[in-house]
Amino acid sequence: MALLQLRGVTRRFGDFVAVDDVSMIIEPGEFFTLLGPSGCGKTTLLRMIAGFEAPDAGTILVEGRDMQGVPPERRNLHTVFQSYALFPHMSVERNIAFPLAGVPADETRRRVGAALEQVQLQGLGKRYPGELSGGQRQRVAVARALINRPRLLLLDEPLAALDAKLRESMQTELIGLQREVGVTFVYVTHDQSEALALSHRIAVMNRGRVEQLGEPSAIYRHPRNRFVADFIGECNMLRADLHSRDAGQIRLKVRGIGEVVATHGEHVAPGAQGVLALRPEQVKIAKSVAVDPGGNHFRGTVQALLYRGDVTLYTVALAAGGRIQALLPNSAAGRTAGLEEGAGVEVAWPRDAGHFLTD
Amino acid sequence: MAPDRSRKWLVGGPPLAYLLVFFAAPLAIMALASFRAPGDFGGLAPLVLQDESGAHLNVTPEAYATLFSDFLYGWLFLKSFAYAAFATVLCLAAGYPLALLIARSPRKYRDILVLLVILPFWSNFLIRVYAWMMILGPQSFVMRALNGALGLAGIEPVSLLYTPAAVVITLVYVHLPFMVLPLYANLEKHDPALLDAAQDLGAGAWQRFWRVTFPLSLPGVYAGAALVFIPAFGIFAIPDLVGGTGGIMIGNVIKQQFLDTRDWPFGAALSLVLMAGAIALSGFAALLGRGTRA
Repeated sequence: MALLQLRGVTRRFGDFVAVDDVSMIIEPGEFFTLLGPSGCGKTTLLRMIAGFEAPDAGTILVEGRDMQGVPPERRNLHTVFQSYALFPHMSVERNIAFPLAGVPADETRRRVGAALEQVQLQGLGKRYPGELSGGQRQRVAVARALINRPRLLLLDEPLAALDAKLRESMQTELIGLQREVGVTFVYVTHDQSEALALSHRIAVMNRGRVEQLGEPSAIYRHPRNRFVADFIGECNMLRADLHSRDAGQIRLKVRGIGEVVATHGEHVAPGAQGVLALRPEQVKIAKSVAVDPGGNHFRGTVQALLYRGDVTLYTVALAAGGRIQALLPNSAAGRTAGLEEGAGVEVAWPRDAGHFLTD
Repeated sequence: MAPDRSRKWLVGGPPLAYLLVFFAAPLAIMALASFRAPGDFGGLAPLVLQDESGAHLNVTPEAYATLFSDFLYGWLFLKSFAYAAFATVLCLAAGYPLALLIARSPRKYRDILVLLVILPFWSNFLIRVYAWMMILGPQSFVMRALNGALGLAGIEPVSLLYTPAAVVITLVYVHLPFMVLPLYANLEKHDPALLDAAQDLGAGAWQRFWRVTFPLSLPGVYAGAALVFIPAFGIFAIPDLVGGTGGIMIGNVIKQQFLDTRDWPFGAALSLVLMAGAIALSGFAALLGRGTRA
């Protein structure tokens, strides 16, 4: 049975529709992420699952049971809040033991000890939240939310308050922890790289709706619309018309570039307007690129380059006036030679790299 | 002297001097006066007495001897403590829900509600106490309604004015804002996410209050209790006006010593013991409060 099921869930604040007819099924043991920009409705959706908000329409089922009218304290799920919301007047131990009201003292002690060990906070049980670092607080919040073994853990941007370095190591820890405890995670974030790294599946949200739902690689490689292509990763978004269709491929007229072949977008009729979405790392760039007969091949000059340490992002001005971005790892030492500003270069990409998106 | 240090004294000096002249010095005078002998017609007897054996200092611990030997004064201290403590508890019981209500109101209404709490300060303290004399008096609407209701239940009519009950009722009324304000200042700062977290972790409304809100508000509770208890402990105007003979408090006795009996040393000794008691109790409260974090 699905662990969590949302059916047509809608929430309005006055005229503003925060969550608009959202339906999804989340399976037991899944690490599921709600991803979207601020104001997209992901936190409101999470608060409805937790019980702090009631949907105006639709149903939320946890393990098949309708949650309507069930207050947050009686739902078998816990939340890790963005601010962690640790009780400042309680030690780490007492914070973690908070949900264990009524459990005998020795069992409480044993379980709190095990929880501290699980999140690697042994020896810090007597400290107060004010004496902990951000990462330690985050771990206490997770330990507290997991102590009475909920079926579902909701996490509201739990890593947003941490610095980049720590965030990365906490991501690895969260994945390990989730695997270890087997609890279903529903994770809210606006950080697309975090979503890609952590999740089994992602629901990309915008303006209260789910734009696309799928595995990280599917969402990254096959964005369904402009919003998803633009929000997840970097993407060349080039205005284009569908010129013609033939077996297995489409021909596009791309403004400022010329005729381009692509494979994704077969369902669109000729004459349709839209954009060609093309990941920069799919674009080959070199002084001279071998011509792939079925692919796309253009000449241009390097207009700007953005050095990022591991990779460099090149902006190439093409002969027809358009611009395209290409990403090249700096480890490819031989290939980056001579790609300075103003250099004449060739760019190419295979026909299955581009997506024609009309909405 | 470093310039920032001299600036510190420039800012802190005047109020410090003010306190030295108008608080510390009078206190020292009181302390010294409590060991002097009373004058024949009030005031103090001369400090140095001349007789045939020569000059000698006229100092005596007699005031303290009387104070500690006559159980009447100990009893009055205890009674004043009981009135003040009872008034503090009632202020807490009435003020806490009020402060919580204000702290949880929409932000735009909070200032107006706080203003309403301190509105009584705009009329004179004595006038408010006189108003209570009328309210508690037998002819007031309130008392007639109360006695009417009691009469229906077959209970003899009661009179409240000039009883200890009147003292406590008026003490509560006068001091309630001093309880509400520090409590509100504390409760208003609570992070609402903590209550969400508590609820999410399984705590019902009752548990959320007793396990989160109340312990976090303890500094406010101690501050409010001190602001109510300390002035209530030594007050004389309220028992004077509404307490009658039975509702007398230690403050009344002190006032009598200075103005009626004109035994200044004894009045000074009573004040100092009262002050020491209040300080000891505040120290005890501070000790209790030190264990709490907010």
